[in-house]
Amino acid sequence: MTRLRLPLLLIARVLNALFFLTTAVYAILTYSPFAYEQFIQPNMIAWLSNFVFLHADFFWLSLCLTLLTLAPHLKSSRVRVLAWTYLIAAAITGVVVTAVPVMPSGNSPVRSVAVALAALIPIAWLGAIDHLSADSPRRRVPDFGRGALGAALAAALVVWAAFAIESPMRLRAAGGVDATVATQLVGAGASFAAHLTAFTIAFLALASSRAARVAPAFMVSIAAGAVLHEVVLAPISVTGIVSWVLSLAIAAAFVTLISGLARQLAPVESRRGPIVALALVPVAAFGVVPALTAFDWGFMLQKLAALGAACVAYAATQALWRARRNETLQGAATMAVPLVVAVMLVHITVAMIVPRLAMWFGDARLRADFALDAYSAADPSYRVLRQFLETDRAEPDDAAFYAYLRANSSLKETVRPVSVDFVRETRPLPARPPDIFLFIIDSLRRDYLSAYNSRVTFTPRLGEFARDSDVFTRVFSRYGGTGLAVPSIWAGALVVHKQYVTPFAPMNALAKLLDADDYRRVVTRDHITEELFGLDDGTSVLDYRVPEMQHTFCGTMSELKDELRAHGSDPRPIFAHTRPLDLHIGNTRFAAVPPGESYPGFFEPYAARVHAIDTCFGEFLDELKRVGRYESSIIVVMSDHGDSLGEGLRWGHGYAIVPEVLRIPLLIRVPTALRAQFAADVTRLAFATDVTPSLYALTGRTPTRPRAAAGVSLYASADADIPSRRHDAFLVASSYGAVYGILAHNGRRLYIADGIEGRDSMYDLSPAGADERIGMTDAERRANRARIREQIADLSAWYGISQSGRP
Amino acid sequence: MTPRFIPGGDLSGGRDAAWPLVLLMAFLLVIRLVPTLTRPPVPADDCSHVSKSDVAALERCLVVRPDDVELMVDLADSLERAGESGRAVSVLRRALDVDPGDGEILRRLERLTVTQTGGD
Repeated sequence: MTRLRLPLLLIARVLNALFFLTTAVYAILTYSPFAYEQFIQPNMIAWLSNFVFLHADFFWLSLCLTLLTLAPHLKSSRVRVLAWTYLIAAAITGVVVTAVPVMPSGNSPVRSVAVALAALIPIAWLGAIDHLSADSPRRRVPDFGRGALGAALAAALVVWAAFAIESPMRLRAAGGVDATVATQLVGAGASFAAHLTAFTIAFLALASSRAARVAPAFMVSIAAGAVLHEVVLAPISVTGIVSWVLSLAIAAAFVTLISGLARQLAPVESRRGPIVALALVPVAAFGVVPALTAFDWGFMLQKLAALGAACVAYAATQALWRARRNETLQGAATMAVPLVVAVMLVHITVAMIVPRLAMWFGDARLRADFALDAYSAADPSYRVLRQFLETDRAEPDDAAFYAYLRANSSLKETVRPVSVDFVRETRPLPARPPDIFLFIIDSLRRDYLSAYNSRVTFTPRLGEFARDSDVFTRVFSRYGGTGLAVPSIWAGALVVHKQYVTPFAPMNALAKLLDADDYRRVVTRDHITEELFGLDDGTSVLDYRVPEMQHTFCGTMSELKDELRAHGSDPRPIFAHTRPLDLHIGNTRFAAVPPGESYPGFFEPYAARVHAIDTCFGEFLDELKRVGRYESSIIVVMSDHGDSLGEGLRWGHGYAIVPEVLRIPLLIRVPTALRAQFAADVTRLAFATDVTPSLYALTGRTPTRPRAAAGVSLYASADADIPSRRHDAFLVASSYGAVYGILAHNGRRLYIADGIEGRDSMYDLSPAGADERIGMTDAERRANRARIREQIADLSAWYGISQSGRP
Repeated sequence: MTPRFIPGGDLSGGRDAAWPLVLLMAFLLVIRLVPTLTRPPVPADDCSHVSKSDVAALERCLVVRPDDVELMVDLADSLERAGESGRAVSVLRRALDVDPGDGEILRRLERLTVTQTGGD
């Protein structure tokens, strides 16, 4: 048999695995309704869409590469049958994928899972071929003799040190992290113990495999599957049995592949390889992880990079420090047992000391949850270990509560729409209603507007507009993330955690208002307006041919001004609505700042785009004034959610709900003629879901709240009292995952329960924007959890979703 | 020889030993139990939702959270109902120091001041 050169085999296998892994990833993204709606539909990941377009071509390319690697086995080899079968099956599959598009789209969960699982078969198949065709003798691997535990602990130290040394630099660069030297030392200490513990457990688990008569590879697959389930699939709302099946299948396929390649590479084993591999750990800590930060999804990629580095370190130190082959486990015990006990003692000591530091030193910043949350933002290796090792559950029902959140998130069952009606009958108004301009600027933060932050000097036109408008100072989105935030604005109410309940029309209270008053709709076409808002023939569509991620405020305003000019004689009132994506993290993270502009103290690419929006907004107002529509128009400028711009090393919005993601700006200009009729308390807690009922009020109706989950008008008759919201508790949620919160105390108190990472936190939100993490008592935790359960249950009852069978 | 596919290793070559399994179980038990058993005590009050009439609890929570505006507003309410308008005004002024932009506190303070001064 002619052996292919090993580097060629490696390259072919890696490329082949990449192709099939990408196929599986795409299929999994289509399985998750939110991932399909938010990543695939708007073409947010352009290369993935291109990959699907060229899928059949890539398939043949991959098969050709694999053919080269299998050619030596086709004539006479012990894997001849396997190789031929693979090629024949692949050729048939190739013909099928060329003739029929097999890649799934949304709303076909069975097909998505089937394609994902099928895509993993070739990876495992080739792994098996490599394994069986290897010339090297099958080794008793791994070896657990004397020194093996020492090697595992050495790997722990290397990984811990690499990330612990790097983390202060990242924390210094981050905003919103109150990390003193003391908190960093606490974090590094806890991380040290966690690494020793995790690597010892890994060693013991692998060493136990012999006693348990289980192949080590099987245990590795189970562990890797558990990691994928928690770290990768839960954050994209793939949960339950499907998540376990997919996770374990991916893990098994890749363990087989790597195992096979390892046997092929066995003859070229040298000391240099493991040393080079160990050198990759600092590269991961200092190079890869910081590079991933700006476009990560809830720390997922950083955690995977850290785990990859840990696996490499473990394997490399085992290879370097391998004990003599003839040693037995019994012999090793004399050395290993004291070491394991020592690690256990370190673990116990840290577990006892860290929660008491704040009390001993009288410094709240040393509270275990504050210090460790802050530190773990910069140390993904510790962050992921903490996710699995930290079992300091505050409440006995922790697991059940988080399971409840997961079970009520990203629902996949069919849900019937409800009718959201703020008035019993939406009759047309006797007088011509005002024009309405609803500008929801995706990801716009209020602290980048001069109306909210006196340090902002780059939004003069929006500042001028604010002086002529009501600037609501305590406004929040009910949802972190566009997916549910925008529909909830149209509905004027919380919507069930599903993307999406269709038909949406019964819930679209805003559209009902527009229909009643015969508004001429001028609306940007994006995947949500198209799917939910209804762009019928009577709608003038903006941004028709513009890819969604390239929807810019300036581009849309230019089209809208043309619309105003072209249809100036149309007697109907106008409703114009757009959601530009200039500020979306996908557009700002690598954006350049125009030459000559500078925004010190701000995230400059983002600030530059806010400045551009400001200019175009000003020009649009000039046009409105010129055509005589400004005085009689309701103009709303808001965002669907905020964004993290480096706070706590978080970027974008993802599935997190944190203060900077929930806070939004809201500026409403009421037509001059109506101002005397209405009063508003701009300092009262307000939500994006209040905008639609406010439009009902401003157009002359008296909206009544159809359900507790619905919003209320921010405007009341000038002589009426505005009811306080000080003693109410409001449910907020992530659009994309099982993360919920309760906002109370007129918007000052935010409790967050993260059902994905299994931890909770509380913030004191100053109206000025200085958010402070605060501790909570067990009673507070219980009370807030009860409120979350109550409000989810109420929403479920409204939609007729059965709670039976949920935890 | 017929190839046998056991990814990751051959189990047949080593003598078994139970100590790793025993230590693994012990370690997992330690991880599960120790933090719960050694957790320091935390205060019992629900400082987010203290009853408005429980002046003692409100004052206790204000010691823990001296900048909590809602606690201050509720305490001022209770004090006002108990006829202690002077203390209520003082508490509301403290609240306004923390959150000067809160219109509702400002209105309450104005109303209370007017009541105190006899509506002048």
